[in-house]
Amino acid sequence: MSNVLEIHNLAIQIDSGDDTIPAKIINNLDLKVREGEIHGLVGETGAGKSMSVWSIMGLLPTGMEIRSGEITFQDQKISSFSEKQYREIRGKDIAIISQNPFGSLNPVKKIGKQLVDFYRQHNDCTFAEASAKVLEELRAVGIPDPMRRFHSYPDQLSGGMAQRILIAAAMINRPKMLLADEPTTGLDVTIQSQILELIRKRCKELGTSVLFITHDLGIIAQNCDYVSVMFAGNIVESGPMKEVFLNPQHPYTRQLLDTTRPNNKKFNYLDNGSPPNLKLIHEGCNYNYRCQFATDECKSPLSTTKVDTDHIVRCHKFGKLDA
Amino acid sequence: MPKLLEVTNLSKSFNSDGRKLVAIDDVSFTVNKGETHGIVGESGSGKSTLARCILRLTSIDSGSVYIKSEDVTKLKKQELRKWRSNNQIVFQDSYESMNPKYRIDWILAEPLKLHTTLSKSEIGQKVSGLLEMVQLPASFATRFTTELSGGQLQRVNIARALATNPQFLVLDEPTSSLDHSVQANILALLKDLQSKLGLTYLLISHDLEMIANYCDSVSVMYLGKVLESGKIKDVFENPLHPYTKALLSCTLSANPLEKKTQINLQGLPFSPLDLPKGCRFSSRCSQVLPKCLEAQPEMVFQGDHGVACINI
Repeated sequence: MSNVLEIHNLAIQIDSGDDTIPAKIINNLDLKVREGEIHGLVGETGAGKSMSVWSIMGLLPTGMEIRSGEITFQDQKISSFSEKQYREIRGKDIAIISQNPFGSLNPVKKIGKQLVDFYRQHNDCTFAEASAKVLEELRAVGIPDPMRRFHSYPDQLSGGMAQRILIAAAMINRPKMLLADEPTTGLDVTIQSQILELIRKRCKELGTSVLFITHDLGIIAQNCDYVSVMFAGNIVESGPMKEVFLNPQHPYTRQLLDTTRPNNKKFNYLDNGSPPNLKLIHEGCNYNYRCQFATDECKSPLSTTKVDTDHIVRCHKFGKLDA
Repeated sequence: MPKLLEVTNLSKSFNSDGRKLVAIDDVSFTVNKGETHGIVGESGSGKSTLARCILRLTSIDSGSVYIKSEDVTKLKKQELRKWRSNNQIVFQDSYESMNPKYRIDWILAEPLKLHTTLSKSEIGQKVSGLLEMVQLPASFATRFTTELSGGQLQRVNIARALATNPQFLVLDEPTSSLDHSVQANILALLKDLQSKLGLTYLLISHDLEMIANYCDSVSVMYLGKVLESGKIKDVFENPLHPYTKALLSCTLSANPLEKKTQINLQGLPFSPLDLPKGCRFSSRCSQVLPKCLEAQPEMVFQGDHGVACINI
């Protein structure tokens, strides 16, 4: 299978003044998303999950810049795109759904009008043609009474319904790649399962690849084909979801999986969960200050090791943990 | 096991633009001493209002709340102040619930100044003892809340709640904004403190995994009503109410080999401003019968396990 998205050796930092040390948000990030797969990206707050998404969309906040590395999307090097070139693909080939659907919708514009605008941005057609397309899309994401919702304002929707609207907006231009940034955080479990099923179903129908950002390991285990575990701006372990979850190799992954079964821990590692200092990022393993296996060796430069064909881990102690 | 908390027929409604918003409707449950009782439900089901009613942070319409055979609803203002030192709460948002202009040691000293007659040096000792109890370094005493991470701040929050040696603690979504590793550490700390100090917890959460792992008993709430309650094992392994079944089927296991058939709820919940005569869950229930719409189902108990559904 070919890769839709490839991130190679990406580094992003915040430039703050002259004499202060810059905070390194993303460090040597390598990520590949294959065609038609759902790729889960998991990590704690501040690990750089959302930042990776914004860099793919070319939407990095001012003050942050790509230091090195490149992002390739469908064989085009998008990391060096101009804003004008980005506008061509943004919302058309790459779409995004975010955590807070209400933040992504214009509160003073009717839903239908907003979706029509999304569609006409990339398609040359009349309002009536676009409206028909929008209504069809609203039906496809399971909105009851789409005609009524077409004329609703965002504040008349529930959280689950608003997220469905955003999925419709994201899928209306048939993107090749969907970036889902914690789309179900803040929703109740019963609604969450509906939204997850909808994303799975729609993306399968339309052959869209998904980069699914979450900190919920349950969502990954039940929805994703691949998983990458992120820590301090780096992928520490990546591979087919089942392999990583059933045979985790990085102490951080093992510890994370243990938190989902507190009464039945497999590894029982010590980890106080204190966030990393992004100003002190080095070439070695940045998890070492929390890791019970850490030695001086861990601060030395590090590359990834192959566990299996696709399963990689970034740890000096690989293979020595269970000894 | 002696009962510590007994809530009977508790009801609370708010006035919303002249219309009655029913937040809690006829809720009853008991919690044994030294145990953890979970309250689980979707957003808007009345979990936090219930906690506020139990701690008298808001008035109630009817019903009674007994903590250690003392009727909380009948306490007078002066009595209430003393009573509060025994019954504390850890709020959800630790940043919001602390004064950002206060140092950590001032925050921890405040309840001691209000509720005890300790001298200045004794308070200082007690504060460092509290920090040690929640496994924070003593150097944190002179920091401000903005210098702490979410997990550290939640530890301070717990320390503050424990300052006056309470016996009953309400934990209102204590870890909902924290990462998994931090969450696990905080919950382990709470569990440890519980066995050391003999505390009784009321744990409010929408996270079913957390409830399953840390509670002894549970009440499942929906639109202000308890639909099912009982020992954690009974409710989670043998759920009887269609809502509990659906909720449990929607929790996602982190074990990829564990596949569940999800029960997807159709329909929309009722508005709390316009509740039906019959069962509150009827608009989303797949097994709804005409008689479900006629009257509220009563809680029927089999031992400790109670369920409010006429189809059982």
